[in-house]
Amino acid sequence: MIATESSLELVLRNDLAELDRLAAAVEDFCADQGVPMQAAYHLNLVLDELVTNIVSYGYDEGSGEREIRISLKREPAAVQVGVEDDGRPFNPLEVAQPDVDAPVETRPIGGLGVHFLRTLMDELCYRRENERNKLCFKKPLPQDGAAA
Amino acid sequence: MQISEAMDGEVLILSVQGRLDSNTSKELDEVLVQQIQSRPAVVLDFSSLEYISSAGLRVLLKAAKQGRAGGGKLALCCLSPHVREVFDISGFSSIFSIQNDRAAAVAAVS
Repeated sequence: MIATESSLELVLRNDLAELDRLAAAVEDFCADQGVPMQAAYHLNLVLDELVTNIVSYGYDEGSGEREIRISLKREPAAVQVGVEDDGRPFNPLEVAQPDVDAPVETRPIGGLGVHFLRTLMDELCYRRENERNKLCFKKPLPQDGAAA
Repeated sequence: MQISEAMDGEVLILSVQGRLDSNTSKELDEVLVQQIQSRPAVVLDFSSLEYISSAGLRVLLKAAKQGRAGGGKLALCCLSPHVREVFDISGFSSIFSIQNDRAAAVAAVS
């Protein structure tokens, strides 16, 4: 983990046990960078969902230890995030929206992680490059004078 | 994550402490699957729940479906604003009985 003044780069193994380390690193970064608690919580949630998806569905059984790279950069009015993995191609921007109004009986069980990404983050971009998924997005931060 | 159990009359209260994510949700799933079948009513007290992801929501949805099929009642209480927001964004607020305090949740399933 390398933390400079305003950015953080984190390399995770493809293991759900890494979620605790991810949460701690994001929390520390946000606290250091004066990111409001609600935005920090949103970043944590979306990164958790994305890493969970990659670890659970990104790799074939027995594909061994792989690296998932997370980067966070504090900008004046936002946190810029990058997520990179070498798992199977997956573009979250192309996933259909889940029906969040469906009754219990027919409520779909998947798709919520991507729904959180789209609902809570801005300026999503995705590209597949050199056999890697590269996802980026921004969390806009409330500015002085705006509601927190 | 920690789960502690208490009884209020016929109602089983499960207090969930810590983080409910893809790493820990299986544990709650095992407890809930068993209890929702054997008890008439279960209340989940989330006053010490710091965090929930879609993996946690999935376990709750499964329990709600199971409860409806088997006649067991389920209510939630005491969600922090952060946790409540996750329920709201996912549309889960409308499919659960969510109460402000434990007494109201017990009343809702009694």
